[in-house]
Amino acid sequence: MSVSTAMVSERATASVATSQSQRGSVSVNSLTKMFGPVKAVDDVSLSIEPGEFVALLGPSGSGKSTLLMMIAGFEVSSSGDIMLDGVRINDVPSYRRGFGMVFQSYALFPHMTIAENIAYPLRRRGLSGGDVEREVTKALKLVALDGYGTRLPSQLSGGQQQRVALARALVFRPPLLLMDEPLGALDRKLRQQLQMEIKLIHKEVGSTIIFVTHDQEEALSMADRVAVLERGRLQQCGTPRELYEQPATAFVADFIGEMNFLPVELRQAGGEICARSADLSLEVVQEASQVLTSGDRGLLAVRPEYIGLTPDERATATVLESAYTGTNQSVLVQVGCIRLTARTSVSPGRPLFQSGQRVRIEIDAAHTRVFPAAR
Amino acid sequence: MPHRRDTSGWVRLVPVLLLLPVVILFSVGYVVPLAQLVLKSLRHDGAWSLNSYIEIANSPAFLWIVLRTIALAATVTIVCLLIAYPLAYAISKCPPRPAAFLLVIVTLPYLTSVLIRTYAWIVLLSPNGPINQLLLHLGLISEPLQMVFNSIGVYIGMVQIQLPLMVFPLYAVLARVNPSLAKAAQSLGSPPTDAFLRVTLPASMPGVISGCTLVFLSSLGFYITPELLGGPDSYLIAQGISLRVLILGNFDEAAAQSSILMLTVIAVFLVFRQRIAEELDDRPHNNIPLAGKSTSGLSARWPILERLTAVLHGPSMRLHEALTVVGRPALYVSAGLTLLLLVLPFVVVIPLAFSDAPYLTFPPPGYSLRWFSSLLKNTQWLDALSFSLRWAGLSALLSVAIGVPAAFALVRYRFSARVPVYLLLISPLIVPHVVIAVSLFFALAGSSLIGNPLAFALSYTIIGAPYTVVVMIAGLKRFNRTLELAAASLGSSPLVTLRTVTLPLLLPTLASAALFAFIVGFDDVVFGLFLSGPTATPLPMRMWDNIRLEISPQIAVIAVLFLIVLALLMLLRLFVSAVVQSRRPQESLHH
Repeated sequence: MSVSTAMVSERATASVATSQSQRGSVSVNSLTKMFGPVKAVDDVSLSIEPGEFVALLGPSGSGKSTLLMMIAGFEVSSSGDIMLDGVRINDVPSYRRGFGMVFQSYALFPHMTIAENIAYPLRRRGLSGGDVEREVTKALKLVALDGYGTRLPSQLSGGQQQRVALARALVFRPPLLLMDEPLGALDRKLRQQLQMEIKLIHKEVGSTIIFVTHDQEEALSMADRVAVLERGRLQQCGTPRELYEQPATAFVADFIGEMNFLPVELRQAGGEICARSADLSLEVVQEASQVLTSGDRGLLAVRPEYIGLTPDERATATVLESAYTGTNQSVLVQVGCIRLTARTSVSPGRPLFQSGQRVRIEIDAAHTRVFPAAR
Repeated sequence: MPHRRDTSGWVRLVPVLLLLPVVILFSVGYVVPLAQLVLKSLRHDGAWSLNSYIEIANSPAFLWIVLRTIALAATVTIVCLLIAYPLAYAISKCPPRPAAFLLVIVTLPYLTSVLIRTYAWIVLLSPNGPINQLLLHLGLISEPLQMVFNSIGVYIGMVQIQLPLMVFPLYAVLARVNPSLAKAAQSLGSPPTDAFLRVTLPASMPGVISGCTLVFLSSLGFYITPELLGGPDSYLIAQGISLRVLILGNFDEAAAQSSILMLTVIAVFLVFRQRIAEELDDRPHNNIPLAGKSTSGLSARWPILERLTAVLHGPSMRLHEALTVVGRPALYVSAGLTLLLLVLPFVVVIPLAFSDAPYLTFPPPGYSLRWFSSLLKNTQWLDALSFSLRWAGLSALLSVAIGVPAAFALVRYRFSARVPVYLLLISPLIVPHVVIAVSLFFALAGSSLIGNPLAFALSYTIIGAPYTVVVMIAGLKRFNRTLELAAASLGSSPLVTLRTVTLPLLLPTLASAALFAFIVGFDDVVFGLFLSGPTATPLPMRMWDNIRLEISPQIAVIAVLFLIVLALLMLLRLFVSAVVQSRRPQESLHH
């Protein structure tokens, strides 16, 4: 290898990074996909800024992969628009959309070397000779696999194969990178390591990324914004903090983090709605909305860390079980016919809660949300 | 999950275009002649009549032939199942490399001409053949047993010839049975043999059914082996039909008998089509049929049976424990004997080719290459060989050309006629060749195509194309379509994806498909019987005449040459897959 090539590869990341300007804004408008009578994706609208990292999160069957496949051009939408930089691309075939895509199963071509795999999209774009070699070297360096070009996919570990898939999807500088559960086939430790690497690479190349996962921890830790889907419908799209602190629906509240749900009765008073729990003699006042009306049954959602416990022999609540996790203690409490999980911080010198112990429950009303009961 | 594409507009036409060539060829060369055959059987002296059927129904000889044929097919099926199962099971338990080797040993006889194997059995079973010699030597018999040119010979030869057809589906199913299932049964208290009976055996039933169906149906219409190994008193239905056409000229009865044979086979085929058409089924299988369940979800059983099993539980467990001790050795001995049966023909054929005797005798008194040189000097043999190579080769290419697009259409597209078209395309595997050949003989009679190489090209393609379709469908179903999505996401149009990703990865499958189609045509005797002429005599017809008229070591020479070519082709195929598996970069990226 000549000296000049080596110098070029030193600058590899810099030139990839500057190649992304303001391209890569994606929006989907009222997108629907029917499989027979089933709505796999149901009227989803979402708009994504250039350079943004968005995770599509949901349980299996929520439509997140179908949504991604429609953006990639592998599924045809039943109705609605997919826009790239303001241009409708529904009818553009996948191979002309120019998006990078990383598959859960890596999808490296087994009959080609690593270098040929990465060169594949470059050759499809008419590059040849030294240009291809330079770009492949850069891409391999980007994913820290310099010198692996001559190997075959079968000679690499799962994590390495997924890095090659990433390099192959980025080497032609797509404005948008789509990732379909890219880390699903890897073990936990490798997954965490690659999560970090993908975030770093995202910073370097600046492409817009849409990342499908069913792992909420992965979505929250990696993405700028997370779109939560359930049964084909977009439940909420927001920053990880918004999802955690202000879940829009009971599903999001339940799906993201841990949540207690208490049955409450709703009573309207002026512009406000009052939720009352008989078991806890607790009242929470919240702004009234269309979905919450007087007389309905509702659900009061409260996270374990906002439930305070105080030992009190005269109280009606009893500790059923507890788990000590170092800095915290999770405590399962029975009061009346409901069970709650509370998380209390452990401070030195203070005794831990014991099974059978009587406790008084305090709920911080400011950190609760009320949802209609029919979930 | 298959990704559904837009089903509007011209996309709908793609499967139609892909299927068009094969459907046209099959209509002209297969469906129409068979339909004409059935119509012919319903006519007598220029008018509609059931006369031919009444005639054969009143003939006790025909009923005996039918009974004999069914008894043979059923017995061969059962014997094949009993000896193939242990072998298939043992192979499924082998590590990948030995298993692949054993499968090659099973495949080798399957690919070797039925004619060659039948010839070997004539030698093996003859009164002074090696088996009689061995038995005499051991003192088990005092004079040679008559085992050939009677029904014993037919049964032995048929079992050996049909064995691979039973081993393949059994192995395919057994290899897929999750080995953890039997382990789980053992951890729950079943001794190994009990675990086998309760878990593995039920899970392998689809393979048992498809293997039995294949062997039974193809035995019903078998011609070559019964004709060569059987005696004059053991006629089967396929022989009856060809006798009527070729010697007696009783075309109406031949048409009626052919129609009965064909319709019986098609009826059985349709009953079991779910097992056979499984390749196209996308739905998850419920392999184990649910017996009558009570409301508790437990199998409903007779109280008396319940009590009986309780009483017998102790002895039955002890029996299973005892069986466990002998089970494994018994399995290996049985599998080994079956393998021996499969390779036995080669054991005699190979030394025989190098015999220096002027007539057939085994073991050869001395060794020489005289029969090789006599073959090379005989222009009749060489002409026949070149005829077969040329037209079987052309038909193999044609089969691939029409079968591969058809397989793509059947696997990749959903359309209403999908399963019927698939059944039509694989039906020449099931419909007896005698029937197809007779129908072509009638259809072409009087035209210049009888005795014309084009008739061979047509018939070889019709019996070869089903193999290319089946092999390609299996290959396409194994193919990881995500690779095509990846290629598209990287900027490949569908045609470029086909050229750079799909076809290179399917190259070994294409090679197999072509090889199968070639061998099917190259081995054919039955079409030769009906379609040969002075200028069109394929090699198997020369061999057929030689076996019937003189039986010389000449056939063994051809068998050895055939085996050498087959071995070379198999090596080539292994080489092709090795190249695909581990191709070094040809266009190096480093200068």
